[in-house]
Amino acid sequence: MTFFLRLAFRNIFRQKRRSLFTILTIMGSFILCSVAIGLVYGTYEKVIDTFTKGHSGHIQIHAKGFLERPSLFKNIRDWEQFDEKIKGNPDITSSTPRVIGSSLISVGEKTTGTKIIGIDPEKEAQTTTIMTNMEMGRTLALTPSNEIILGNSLSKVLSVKIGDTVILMTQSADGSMSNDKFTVVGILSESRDAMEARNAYIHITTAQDFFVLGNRIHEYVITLKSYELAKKVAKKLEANFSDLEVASWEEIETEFFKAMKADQTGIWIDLGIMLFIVSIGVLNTVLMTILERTREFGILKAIGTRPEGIFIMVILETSVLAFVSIAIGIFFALIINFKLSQIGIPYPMPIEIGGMALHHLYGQLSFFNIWVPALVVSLSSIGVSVIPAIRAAQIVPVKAIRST
Amino acid sequence: MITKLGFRNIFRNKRRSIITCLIMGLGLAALIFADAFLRGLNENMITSVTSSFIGDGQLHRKNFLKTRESEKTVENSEQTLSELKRNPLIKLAVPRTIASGMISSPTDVLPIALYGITPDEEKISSIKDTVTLGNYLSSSVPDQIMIGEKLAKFLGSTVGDKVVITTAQAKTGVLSQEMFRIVGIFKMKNKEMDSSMAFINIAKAQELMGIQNDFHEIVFKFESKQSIINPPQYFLNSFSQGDNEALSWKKLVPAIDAGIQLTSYSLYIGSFILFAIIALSTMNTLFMSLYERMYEFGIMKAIGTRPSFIIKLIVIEAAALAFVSSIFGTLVGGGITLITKMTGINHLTDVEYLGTTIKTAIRPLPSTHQYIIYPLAIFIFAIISSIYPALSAGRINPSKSMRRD
Amino acid sequence: MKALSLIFILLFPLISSAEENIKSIVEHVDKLYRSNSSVAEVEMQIVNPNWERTLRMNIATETMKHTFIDILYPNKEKGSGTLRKSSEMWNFFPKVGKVVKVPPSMMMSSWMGSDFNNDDLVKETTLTDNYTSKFVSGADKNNYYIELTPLKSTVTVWGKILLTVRKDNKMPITEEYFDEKGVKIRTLSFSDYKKFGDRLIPAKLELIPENKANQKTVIKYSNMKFDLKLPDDTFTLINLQRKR
Repeated sequence: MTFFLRLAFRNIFRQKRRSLFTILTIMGSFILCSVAIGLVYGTYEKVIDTFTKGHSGHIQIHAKGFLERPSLFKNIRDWEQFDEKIKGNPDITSSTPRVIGSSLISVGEKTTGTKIIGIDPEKEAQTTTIMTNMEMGRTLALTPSNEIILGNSLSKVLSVKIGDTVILMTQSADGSMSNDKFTVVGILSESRDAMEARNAYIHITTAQDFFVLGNRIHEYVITLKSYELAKKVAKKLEANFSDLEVASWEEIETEFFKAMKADQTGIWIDLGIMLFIVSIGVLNTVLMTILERTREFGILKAIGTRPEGIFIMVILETSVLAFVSIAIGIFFALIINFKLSQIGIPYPMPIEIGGMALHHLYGQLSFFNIWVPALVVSLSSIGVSVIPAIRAAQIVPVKAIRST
Repeated sequence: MITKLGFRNIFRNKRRSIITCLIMGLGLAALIFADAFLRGLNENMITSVTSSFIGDGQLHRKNFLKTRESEKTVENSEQTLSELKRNPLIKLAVPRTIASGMISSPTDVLPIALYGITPDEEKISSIKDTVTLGNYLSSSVPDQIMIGEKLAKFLGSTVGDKVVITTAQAKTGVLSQEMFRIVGIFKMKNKEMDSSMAFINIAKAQELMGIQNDFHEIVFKFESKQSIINPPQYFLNSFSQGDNEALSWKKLVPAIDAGIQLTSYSLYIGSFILFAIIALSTMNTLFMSLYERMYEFGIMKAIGTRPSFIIKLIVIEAAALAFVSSIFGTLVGGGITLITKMTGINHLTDVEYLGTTIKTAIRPLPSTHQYIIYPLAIFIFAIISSIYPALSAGRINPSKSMRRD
Repeated sequence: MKALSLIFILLFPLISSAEENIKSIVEHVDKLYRSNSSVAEVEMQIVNPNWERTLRMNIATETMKHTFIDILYPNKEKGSGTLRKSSEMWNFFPKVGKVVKVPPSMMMSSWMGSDFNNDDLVKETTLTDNYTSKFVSGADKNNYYIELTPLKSTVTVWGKILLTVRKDNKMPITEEYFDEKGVKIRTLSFSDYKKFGDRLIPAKLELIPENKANQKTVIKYSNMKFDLKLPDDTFTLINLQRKR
């Protein structure tokens, strides 16, 4: 075997130009394929990441039945230990509690219903990006107060501006009518499909007092290192929070998730086509290499090389070329993917998804967009060389030497 | 003569030629198909969503969508509706009333969004297909109502039961109440819709709200697919005069538009990369075959052929190959596109979005530019790729090349 | 739900006609709480799976169109008020010192969390005008059992109402509400018959839904006066905002 390996290497170096071409083609195909996959997945990752951080977070914990039919009374007690419970988990980056209730909100003559979200300003800022999208004003003060932030549509319905006083009235958790004045300190920006548009946000402690909830909350939001871990981590957490509901973002943002899935299936078909072409390209290159050396193989056989020998030699040569191409290719692919994941390719016009504007198409640096093209390329090169290798092995020396 | 020689050279080495043609041709075919597929996918997504509840576009009074005030009916409702219907770009236009109210059953009272529709004309939407229990609304029975599955569950009601709808008169705010009988229960697979939407006959709704013959929303569909995919702005502007505003699905469901842009752009780049791969392989093939024929070129020069002749010959060969490949690729690509267009690509069915299922198969769309631009591009690229080797061939030193290695 | 409308119905000083006419019995029940004007101290106890509380308030009415409610207890809500004029409704909360108009859509939701809702103030249906009645047999010989079925034109969710009335003083004992399938949904019980002025009326009403565990609303009247002269500005926004 080593004999043939040495022979393979020598052949490769003998035909520098041919080998170089082959390597360049295979490497080029590999890099392009890797970058393509990276761009597609990189962009999706960005979209999902932006969306989940901007609305639901990655995992939410509620009282049983809350997601199906929200109610002020489906709340969570003793949630302070949650922080302790999740501390050890390396996948979790931050968490924040929320109170959710509905209320009438009134300014002057205008009254309408709204959803009140009580947030912890500091923790919320670490966990989601909802509060970074303000049209005007500022975020809530860190200490409990009667400040309120309105969603954009809500502010328009009430014709309200920063500094105005609004009145909230609701029936609280003990049945009494709660009412209080709040000052508008911020208005969220008008994003085309923001779900927060009709909500109002106040400090969580203020909300607990207003709704007479004591120390209870409705929602515990968790963000992870990556949105991909959501389902897995949710399952693990279920054991710890057995009398509650732990849901991943896929279950909470079902519409968005379905839309992303629909898109991805289409993308896969296109990627499939690309991989097909890559295989053909490689096939083509390898085939040419082998066929051009018919005469050479004829001479080899004439001097007594066994058919198996030729077969092994051809396969080995192709394999070596393929691996070298891929090895160098990986180096470049890593660099290009890295650059793309940082800088990206700018869109002609920003695309707004889930209230966030995306300005760039991003690449991705991951194991996935390395091994998939590597697999495809190596399999096609080696696979494709089998038949010509067999043909080469079966060459009739006289015929071969006579050909061009 | 050069051309004849060029073509003959191609046929002389069949195997090499075929392989080269293969890569160029299949690559081209793939490009054509991918492009068609993408178009089909986009169209599929758009039509799925618009053929659902939303339509291709909607017309409302300005600010109605934000504030939902029930006195903000479409300005000159009936007139606007007939104008829309008469417009040649429009296939269908239906009116709807929208109001908030409460629905009561013996056991519960819940808030709802009450839609008044014209059952027969609402073929525009797939509401009828979402009815899982009972029947669709009939215009001949005025006090029928359809509610969502979740709402029915919360109310403890089913087909045949009585419910009371309470809503407010548009201008006065005076409460009005009417009894309705549940004729059908729908499932739109969207939490919001299934738990808080109810449909009644538009005439009844108008009566309840005291808005006579006015309505809040006109949903319309375009005649041509082109208009659906790219709603004409001038048309929308012409109906946004006065206090009304006409919006296309792009503004109504911006998420779809964003999704399409995203997909398009990603695949645009993907196709670009695909093209690069094809070009690379093509170049490589040409290079290799040319270099293998250096001996041949050496002899030609030795017998006195001028360098320019050799160069032209090589370029022409490449062109000929490209030409054949283009035809081959176009036929294959076009063929696959047409076949899949007719049979449709089915494996994406059952993907649900916005309460509708993407039911129809994806039909790849052929388009002229696929058959002109892509082949042309490949053709040109093949020729360009052949230039460097052609030049080298022209400069060959006969004696060197004839020394076989 | 019909009960609240009964509360604000005028009771005619009815001559006890010897006629056991079914219509007159039903009419009598209808008019139990009806009057041109009335003032009462009401205690309302609300029990539901989530909480339990008792409210005390003064309620002033004028026919069925205008209502003024002033909360006396508990302290958190003391001084709050509700004014209803025809089909418009306002709430006043002393803490914020503002009058807030209740949007029409909110009027249907339950009032103060009880089993009664704001809309009861809207409905003008009466058992007499909107239902057909007939005698049916029942357990106790001392009572009338009357089955009421809504007319086709009557807007209601009920399939039928079973009214039980004492033969001797024509006082209602229970009103049982059934849906169209004949399933009993709730029961309104009357008790604690007292004379206010020259009217005999049940001073305690209890509304208990059938299939909801731990849920009921109990209303107790005290100090009820009928047909008195109320101050002219009773049913005005100014009155609503007044310090009480």
